[in-house]
Amino acid sequence: MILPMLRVQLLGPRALLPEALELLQRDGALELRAPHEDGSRAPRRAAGPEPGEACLAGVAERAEALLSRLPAARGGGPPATLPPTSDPGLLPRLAALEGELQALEARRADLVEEGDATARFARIVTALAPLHHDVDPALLPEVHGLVLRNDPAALALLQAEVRRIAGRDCSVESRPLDGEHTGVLVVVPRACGRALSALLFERGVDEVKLPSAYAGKSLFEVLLHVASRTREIPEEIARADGRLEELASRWAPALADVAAAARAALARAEASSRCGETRFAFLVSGYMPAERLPALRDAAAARFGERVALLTGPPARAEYGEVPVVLRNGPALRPFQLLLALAPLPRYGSIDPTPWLALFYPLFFGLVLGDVVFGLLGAGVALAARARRWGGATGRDVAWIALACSLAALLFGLLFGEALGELGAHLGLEPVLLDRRRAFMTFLGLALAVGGVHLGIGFVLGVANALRGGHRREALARAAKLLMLLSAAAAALGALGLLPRAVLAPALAAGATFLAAALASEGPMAALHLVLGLGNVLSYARLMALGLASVMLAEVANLIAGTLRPAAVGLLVGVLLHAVNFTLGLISPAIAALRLHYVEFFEKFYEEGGAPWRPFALNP
Amino acid sequence: MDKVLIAVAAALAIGISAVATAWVQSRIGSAGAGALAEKPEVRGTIIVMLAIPETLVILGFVVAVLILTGG
Repeated sequence: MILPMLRVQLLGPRALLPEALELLQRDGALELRAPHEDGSRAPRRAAGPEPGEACLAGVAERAEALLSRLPAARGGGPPATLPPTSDPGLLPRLAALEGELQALEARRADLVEEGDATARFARIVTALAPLHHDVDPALLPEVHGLVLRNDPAALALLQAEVRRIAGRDCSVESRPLDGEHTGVLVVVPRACGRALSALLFERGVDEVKLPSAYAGKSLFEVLLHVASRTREIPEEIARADGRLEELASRWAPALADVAAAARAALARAEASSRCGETRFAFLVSGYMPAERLPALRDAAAARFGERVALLTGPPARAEYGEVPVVLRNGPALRPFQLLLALAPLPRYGSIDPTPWLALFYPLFFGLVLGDVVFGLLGAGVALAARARRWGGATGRDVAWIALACSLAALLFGLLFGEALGELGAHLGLEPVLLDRRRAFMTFLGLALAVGGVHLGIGFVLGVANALRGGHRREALARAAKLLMLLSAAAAALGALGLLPRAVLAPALAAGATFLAAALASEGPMAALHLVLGLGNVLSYARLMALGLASVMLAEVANLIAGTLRPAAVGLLVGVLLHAVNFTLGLISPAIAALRLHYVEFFEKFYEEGGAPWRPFALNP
Repeated sequence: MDKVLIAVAAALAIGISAVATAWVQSRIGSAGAGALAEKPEVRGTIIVMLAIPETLVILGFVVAVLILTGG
């Protein structure tokens, strides 16, 4: 059903508007609507950002950005507090926190970079150990580590270039690091260091850049420093991480609170632009479910006493198009609302088709699949899916629908006497209703009869919908078309001998009368609608066609399993074909049944155009 | 000879309607794929629209069954 909604208006002194909005936000039931500017209601406040709204947005963004940069908090010290969003001291506090976090992040990034460079350099040095060079210590030798691809020509070229720059006062040592790379250690006098770096940069050589702490040190000192830093850097990174975690455990809760408070205040500021205001009064209006009104009334009375008036009433028929829609069905029907998700929501004041979907969708599915084994298999899978909670809430709903469809398939399997086609007959299963494999025409008649009943219900719902909406002429036209179709069905049954032949003439006369009534109330289009209605009934022949295809495929699978030799291959092919049939049997009837509802059934009564209910709440 | 003609008639009834359905579904399918790329929320509508021309082949199938069974 569509939950009854109320139009609610909150009227009070202008100074109380912020408090009123806070109350409504906490209550989280009212969907706000701007008051109409038709002269009978309060004028709408001029829209536009209020002073402070930009500031609130900035606070929320900065707090959220800080939260995203902080690592996961693991308890620790006492949580810190931040000033409220209205306090001017909050922004400087956030800025200080940003600075502290940035310094810690920069320190950690430097350590990681230094650790990488040291590890790479240590790798080269280890590969080239024991290290020695011929550069005079008086020339302050400078060490450059390189990683080159294994290419003797490139190495020879490098040696030649280094000699060109540094003359004889240089040393180039190389050793393979792995199958593809060679580590090279170049030692040159400090005076030539810059020229060598420029050369390496120009040629795109991957130089292992050491941190500035290594600059100007002798090779021996560099080695000692590398060894020492290799031990120290992980400890320093761990200390930086610990400091970040400490920061997170102290500040994350306060930052989350500030971000939430800023977002809530921002939402209230935005909501206030949808409220009406005069010099002295405010007006907040909107829609809410009638069942939530007592709670709001009590909360408003407790907070404002008689200073704020709460005016409520059912929405007028003219505003049904604006009223948000909430569907509410029992636990057994609610999962079938999922099938409505493919169509726009029904308009407020119209009919929720969920109960009819819950009845006819499994019925159509069972009529097509109609097999005891497939029904049991489907029910097993659906129960397993529910037990294992596959797919969360949506998965639970899908499993419930699948269970209903599987049980319908099981029921119709018993009525048709089918279990993997004719195999059921060997187990003593006899057709109770009809044998689909032989009684094609009876099956077709059954499908069309079910379609006729389905569409008849659609017409009745359409009449009820039109009467509810106050459209009497439309209701008359729909009733005339329904009775006309019933007369046509009676005449057809009389002509086929399924009803006494005496029915034929009165049925035709009644049909002509109802046709005239339909033409009179709806005009010439009524005749076209009648033809389309007959076409809609014929469309239900797909239930017979898909069902027949399913049972015939099962027959083919059994035939192959029984005749193909060797027997094992025949059995395998038969099982595979049954598996294909089962898969097709899940997809085809699911889509066909959905289509019959959307295209044929809904066309008779469904009024789309409802908007989902989006209350003004703290966590919308 | 009659049996051959009956079989050919039934084959034509289902075959021509199947080709018609396939052609229409190809047009709807390609247009639907384009629409889906821009508006994923119309997925349900497109699935239903894709199933609409199935009526052609279903009716062809029913006619073929009627021909074969002499109904």
